[in-house]
Amino acid sequence: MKEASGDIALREAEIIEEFSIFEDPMDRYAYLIDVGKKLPELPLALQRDEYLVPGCQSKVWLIGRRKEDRVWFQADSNTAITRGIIALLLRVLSGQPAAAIQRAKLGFLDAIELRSHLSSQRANGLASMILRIKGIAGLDGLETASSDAALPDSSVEPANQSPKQAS
Amino acid sequence: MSSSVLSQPGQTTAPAVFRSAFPILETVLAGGKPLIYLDNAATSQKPDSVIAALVDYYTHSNSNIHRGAHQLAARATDAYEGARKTVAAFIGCADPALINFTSGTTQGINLVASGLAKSWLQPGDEVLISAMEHHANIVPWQMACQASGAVLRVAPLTGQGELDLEAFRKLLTPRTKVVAMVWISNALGSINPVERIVQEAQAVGAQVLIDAAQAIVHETIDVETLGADYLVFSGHKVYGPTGIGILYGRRERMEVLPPYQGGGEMIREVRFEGSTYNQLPYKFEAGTPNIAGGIGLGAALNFVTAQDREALARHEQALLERTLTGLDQVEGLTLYGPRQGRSSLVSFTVEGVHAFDIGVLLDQQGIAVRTGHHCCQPLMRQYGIEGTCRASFLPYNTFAEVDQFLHALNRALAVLRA
Repeated sequence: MKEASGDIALREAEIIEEFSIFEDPMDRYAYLIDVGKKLPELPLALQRDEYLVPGCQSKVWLIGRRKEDRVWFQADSNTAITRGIIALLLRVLSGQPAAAIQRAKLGFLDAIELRSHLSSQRANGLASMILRIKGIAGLDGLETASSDAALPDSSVEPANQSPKQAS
Repeated sequence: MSSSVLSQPGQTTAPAVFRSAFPILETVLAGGKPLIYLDNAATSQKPDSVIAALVDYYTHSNSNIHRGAHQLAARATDAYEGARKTVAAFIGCADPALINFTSGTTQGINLVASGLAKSWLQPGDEVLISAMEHHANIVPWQMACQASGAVLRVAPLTGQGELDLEAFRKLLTPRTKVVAMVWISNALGSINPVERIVQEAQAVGAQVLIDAAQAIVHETIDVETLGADYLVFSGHKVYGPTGIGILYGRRERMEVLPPYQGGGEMIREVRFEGSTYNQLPYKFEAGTPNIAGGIGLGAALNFVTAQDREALARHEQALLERTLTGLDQVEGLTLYGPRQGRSSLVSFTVEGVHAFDIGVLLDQQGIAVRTGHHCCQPLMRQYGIEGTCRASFLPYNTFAEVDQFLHALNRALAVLRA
C-alpha cells in the first residue's frame, strides 16, 4: 500500500483487522491505549484553549491545516483512552482529501465496538471530535482558521503526519 | 448471586434481604458482566415497592389533584397528601404544611435563595457557604448576592477535607445573614457538624439552609432537633423517583418568604389588579406537581422506615472500611476527604492516571462509578485536580462487589501504567 491517503476505507479495514484479535474488551482498550502512546505529543505551546474541542469530558486539542485539497491534523488529549481514539481518527483521516474527510462514515468505530462501549456522554465527546475534524475539512482554504497561522509549517508536513503503515 | 457472598461471619443476612428488593441489581451488562453499581451518590436504585407505587398510581389513580369533583381526583389527592405526611414524619416535622414538594434539591435551594434575595438580604450582608459545596449550593447564592447586593463568603476546609470550624467561626459575624451548608459532601464524603453549625449561625442572626441531598439516605434526620431554617433534599437519592424533592422550612420563615413561581395552585384569588397567595405549602407549589413522583417518594420513605436502619448503616460502613483498606494498597493513590468519620463513598485520584481513563476501564468490567468534578469545580480547583474517581455505596452493595471493584481498579491501573 504505497499511497493510502486516498483510501479511507483501506485504513479503516486495517484498524478493524488489528482490533479483531481481541475478545476481551480490556485487551482491546490496552491496545487502544498503546496506539495512543505512539501519537506524537502536541507541543505545549499549541495546547491552547482555542483548539479545545467542546463537549469532551477529557481535554482534546485539535488543529487542522490544509494544503491544496488535502487536510492534515494534529491533536492530543490529557487522557490515555482519548489519545488512542485520536490516533485512530488521525490515522484514517489526516492527509486525506477534504471532500473525502467530510464524506467519511467512520464505520470502523462501530466495527471495533468503540462507539458502543463509550457511554453516551463519552460518545458525544467522540462525536464532537469528528464534527470538528469535518468542520475543519469544510473550511474554504482554511485561511480563516486561527489554527492555520499558529501552526508551524514543519509540524504539519505530510511526511510528519502521514500515518504509520500497520505492521 | 448467592446470599453467602453478601455476609461475613457474625453478620445478619439483612443486607441480602434488602438487596433482593432492587430488581435492577440483577442486570447483566453487555459482555455478560453482572452490573456492579457504585454510583449511589449520584442516584440510588429503586425498590419494588417504589416501582409498584408508580405503576399503581398510573394504573388506578391518575388524575389532577385538588379541586377535582370526581373520585379519581380524590384518590390522587389523598395519595399525594398522604405522601406529604409520610415525608413530614420521616424528617421529624410535626406539621406537613411545612413540607414543600419541589423538583429536587436544586430547585429547593433556588426557591429559598431567590426568595431571600427579595425579602431578607440587603446590600453589604453576607452569605456564608463552605468550600465543599455542590454547584447547586453555590450558584443560586451567587445569583441572590447579585440581585441583593449581598456578598458571598466561603469557609475553607482543613487539609483533611473537613470544614475548618475555626475559620468558619471567624467568618461568622453579625453581617452574616444566610449560612448555606452541605451536610455530607458528595465529592469528599466529609460529614459536617450541622447541629453546631445551625446553632452558631443562628446565634449571629443568620438563617440556615442545610443541603441534605446526600444525608437523607445515610442519616436519621429530625428537623426539630436540628433547628435549621430550611432543609432540602432529592427523592431519587433515597430510593425514590427522579424529579421530586423536598423543601422543609420553619413556619415563620415560609410565611414571609415570597412565592417562587406564579401560576395555578399557589393562589388564593387572582384579579388583574393583583393576586393573593395560597396558604402553606401550596404557596410554593405552582402548577400541576409531580404527583406520581410525590407518591413514589412516600413509598420510598415507607420502605426505608420498615428497614433495620442501624444494621444497614453498619453494613454500609463495613463496605467502606473494606474499600479503604483495599485502596491503601494501591500505589500512588490519593484519597480525598477524611480517613475517619466519613460517609460511605471514596473519592480518589491515582498519580499519572486520569480519572476518566479509570472510569472507562471500570465500566468495561461492569462497574459503574462516577468520574469528573462532581459538580464541585471550585473544590477540585483547590486541590489542583480536574476531577476524581468516586465509588459510593448503599446497603444493597456487597463485600463481593467491593472486592471486584478493587480487583477491577488494579487491573485498570495495570493497563494504564503498562
